[in-house]
Amino acid sequence: METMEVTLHLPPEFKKGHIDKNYNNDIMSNRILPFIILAIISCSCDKHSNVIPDYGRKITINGIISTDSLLNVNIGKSAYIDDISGSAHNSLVDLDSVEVKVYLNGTVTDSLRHVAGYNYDVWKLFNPGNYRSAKLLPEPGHNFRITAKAKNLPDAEVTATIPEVVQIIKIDTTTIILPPGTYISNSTGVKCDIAFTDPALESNYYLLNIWEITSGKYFTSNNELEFTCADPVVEETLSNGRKNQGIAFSDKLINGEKYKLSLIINREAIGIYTTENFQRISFRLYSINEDFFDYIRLLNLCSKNFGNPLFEPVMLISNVKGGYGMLFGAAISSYNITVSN
Amino acid sequence: MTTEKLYYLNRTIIPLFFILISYPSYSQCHSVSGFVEDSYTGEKLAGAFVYDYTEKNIIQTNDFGFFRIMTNSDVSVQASYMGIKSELLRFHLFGDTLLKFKIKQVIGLHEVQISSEMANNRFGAILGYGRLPVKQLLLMPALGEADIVKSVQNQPGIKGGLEGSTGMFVRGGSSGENLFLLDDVPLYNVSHLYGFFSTFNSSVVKDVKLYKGCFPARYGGRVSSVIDVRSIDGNQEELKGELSIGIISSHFMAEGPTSNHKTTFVVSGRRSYFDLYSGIFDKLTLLGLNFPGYSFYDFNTRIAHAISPKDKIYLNFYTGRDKIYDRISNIYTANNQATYSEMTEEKSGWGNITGSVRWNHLTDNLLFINTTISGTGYNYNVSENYRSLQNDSLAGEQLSRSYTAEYSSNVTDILLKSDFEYSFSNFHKINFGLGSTLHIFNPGKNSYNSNSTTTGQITETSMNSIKIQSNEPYLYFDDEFKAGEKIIIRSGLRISSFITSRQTEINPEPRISANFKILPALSLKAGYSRMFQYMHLLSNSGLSMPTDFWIPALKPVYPEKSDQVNVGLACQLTENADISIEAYKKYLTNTTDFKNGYSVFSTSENWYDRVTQGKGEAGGVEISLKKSGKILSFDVNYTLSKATRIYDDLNNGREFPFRYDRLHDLNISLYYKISEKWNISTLWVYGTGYPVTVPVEKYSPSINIVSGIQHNLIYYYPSQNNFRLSDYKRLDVGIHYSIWRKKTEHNISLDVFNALNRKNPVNMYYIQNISLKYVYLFPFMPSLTYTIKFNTL
Repeated sequence: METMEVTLHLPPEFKKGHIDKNYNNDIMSNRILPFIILAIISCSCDKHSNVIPDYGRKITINGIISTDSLLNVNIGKSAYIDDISGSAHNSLVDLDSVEVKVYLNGTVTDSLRHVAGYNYDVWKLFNPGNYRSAKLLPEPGHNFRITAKAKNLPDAEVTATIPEVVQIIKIDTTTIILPPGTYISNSTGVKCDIAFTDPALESNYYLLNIWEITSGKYFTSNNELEFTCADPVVEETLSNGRKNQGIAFSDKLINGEKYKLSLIINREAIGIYTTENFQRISFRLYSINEDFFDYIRLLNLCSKNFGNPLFEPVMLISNVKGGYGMLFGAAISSYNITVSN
Repeated sequence: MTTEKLYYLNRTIIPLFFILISYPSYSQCHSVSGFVEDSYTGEKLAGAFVYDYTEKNIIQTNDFGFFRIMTNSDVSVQASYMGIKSELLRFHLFGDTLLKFKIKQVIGLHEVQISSEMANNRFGAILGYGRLPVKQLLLMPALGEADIVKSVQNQPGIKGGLEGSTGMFVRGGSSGENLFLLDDVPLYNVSHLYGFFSTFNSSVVKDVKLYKGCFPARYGGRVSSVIDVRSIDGNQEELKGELSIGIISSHFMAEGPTSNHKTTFVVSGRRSYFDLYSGIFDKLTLLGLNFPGYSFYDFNTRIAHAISPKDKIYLNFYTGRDKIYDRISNIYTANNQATYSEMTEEKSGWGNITGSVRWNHLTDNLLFINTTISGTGYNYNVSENYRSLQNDSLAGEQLSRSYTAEYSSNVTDILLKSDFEYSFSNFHKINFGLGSTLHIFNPGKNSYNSNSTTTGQITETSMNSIKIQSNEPYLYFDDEFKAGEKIIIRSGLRISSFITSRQTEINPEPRISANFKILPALSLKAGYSRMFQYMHLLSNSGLSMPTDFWIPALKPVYPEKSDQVNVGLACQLTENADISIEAYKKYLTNTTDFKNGYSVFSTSENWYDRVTQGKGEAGGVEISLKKSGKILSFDVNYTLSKATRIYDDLNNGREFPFRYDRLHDLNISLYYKISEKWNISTLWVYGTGYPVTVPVEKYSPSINIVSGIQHNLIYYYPSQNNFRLSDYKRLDVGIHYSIWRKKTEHNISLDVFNALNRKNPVNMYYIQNISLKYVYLFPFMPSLTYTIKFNTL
């Protein structure tokens, strides 16, 4: 094979730094350049405006229809996202003059009445509804349809079914010294083992919380009791930012099994609202559906991600047609124990 | 197979195949092959044209500057590169001949492509392909310093993502669907400083090729684009150097030959100095604030050795790393007898390291072989150390407590491949090859240990996500067939596979395209390509964050697939201006994203529980107008596009706009040579605002666990990406001053990013007590860079 080397010489006008003054189009280019730059600058100077569209308000229906109390729901109104007025926030949780009808298994059964002077507490896990039935006690298997009509707002309706109840079989308690780093060092706690049997051949979801029922001379009050739970079945913790008020879990690790769920109540937290010697503690195991469980999970994610621009916002689910909110059915099994102060 | 079928195969298909591969070869032909080089540096010139006037044929050099033409005994050839065309060369050919063309490139002058070269470029180029002129890109205004990736973002069909970042979203694809190759070695993370600089040090980049449409079969592993970056071999003639000093970072480069001129080297490095600033600010206790230290560096080296005229080996090494660290310490004293001190130190680092050995060999029968063995790795780690010490002199007690928490993730690849290139004739060329990549994924490792003299407790915990190994072998062939002077047909097939201990996937990836010259200056093109991707990048909103991590497509996560069809027209308007119009439609299957509310920071769940898969569609029209002149040059790139996603688990199963969907995208870059020493460049960018997810209403929740949110409210988002930010507009200006001395060249660049100080919102969200919060990034940002080049010719 023959090998040769060829150097291609550059024409003299291409030498470094040389500009061909007669290059075609340059005269035209020099004329149009200032116009192009001016056009660009004028297009870039305007100010922007971002206004979120307002699609109008809607009725909100929230709450839990449970087997341990007369049917009640919370009905409010949504607010425009940029509305930071106080009145807007009152109507968010308490909208009066709403016509609310309840259909049980497809038949009109009751109308709910608004509770005057309703007081909503943001620190409570569950608030009793501002629209209540005087007679209707939900039972497992009941299917409710609730419709709401209010002036100047679109009609809203929601359906909820009460699941089958899963009973707490028994609760064993043991007094323990709390481990370091939990509450105050060397304080005592009550370890509770809650036994129940998960129904086989179906997916089940649970929520558990604990109430301290104080019976004073002149009043009776119920307060959610804080507890800690490191049980492996627990998937979500329900906290209001001050204290843990509940746990939620599914049966994916315990399907069809008899299971003992362990949790610890801080002994110091019991009885702080009373001078009585004995305190009644009520454990409530809520049987809930998958949507409610997902809702709890999404609310927790929403709380965790809020205000961080690096996260995509959490889109919460709603089961209210024509409005917003989530109404769930829950079958509750309660188990009470008495603890001395 | 039946006897009839075999007979049919023998009698028809096989003879037809040989006829096709040989047509229209000439029995009396000899070959003229060789390399096109820069005469000053000896650099092989990829993409140069060699004109064979005898056979009326034009050949383009490959990535290593190699060409081969078949011609008759009387040869009439000419080489051309970026507008520099030589005198015609005539000689008599007695046998196969090896040539070495040396072209004297213009230095310091803006590159001009001559019309015939432009026309050939336009006709011969496949759809969705662009070879980017590196020198021209480096003259465009930039934030901090000229950046190859940011220049690629200005090409039609490519969205830049977050302002100022190196994120790339090509034709509706996600940021993890782009294959970045540095000298044939993939890079997993191409960003420094959270994406505001790319890992490519522009002073050592020779060639950048971009594929976004019809992909040659030699490329695979990503579904949206290939950015193939080649670095310089090193000057064969003399020692040269470059030093550049900027406000944010500085870099150096040295290149030269050894004494025998057979071996060349390139060494370059770059370092930022935020950490020096923050150290000074900390010492001055400026504003009473704590300034974390931040730095990044990268280092490239390359050695090229010519064993013979037909054999050359290359050794490449690259490493780059970002580091951020913060230390807070406090000492408390009580009644002059007890002291309590505590110190918290946080460190985070991420980076790539690659190395490769490459061998180019030209066989006696002129088969060009490129064999590469390489390794690449990306790792990210974050750690926190805490130490406290309590001294009580009165009680004679000393109590201490400490803990260390660490998280790391990494991915490592080992690659082996061989590529072959052979021309049957001037009209028929094939490329084929095979290779395999061994991936080792470690998506996350947590460790925690603590020690306390108060409790006497020592805790050590370590949690590893499962380390996963997989193999990605492939083989391919690419066939290029010219049916006369007016038609080019390219077809290819890549057989890719993904093998782990749990599963084996084998997928064919057909590619086909055709170019048809309607008129001498007008050509019509069409093509189709299918690509598979066996790994997914989990990223937050497409930001280039170091926490992004790669996961393999292990069931129940499936490989991503793209099917893309392209149609286009290329037209030469004048001697030095041309326009191209391309339309595309792309279907993405198994796009991967986080489930509602999950992110890279949701470390409590396994990665496969956090992701969901869906489908994507993208379509658009891209128009590119280019005019090159010695005084004024400009590029106008416009894209009209739409990109959507649909997931069962997101947006209630409804279709929604892709996060980086943009209906209109226009950018105009201008280069104007004021005088021999002064030039000015501008870049104007306009784009429809990106979609973001914003709430339109708020209401109370069913249960009060939304702590931290204003009044325990939850927000209603009607759909994902439901709101468009205002249109994006930005003007960048760069003024460059150059002077030449006997042995040096001095350049001073003043670049202004966002010269009109327009506030372009990049996101919006809600925070407590302040309802709507817009996120803006870069206001008016000037930067000054001084560069000195030694031994400039």
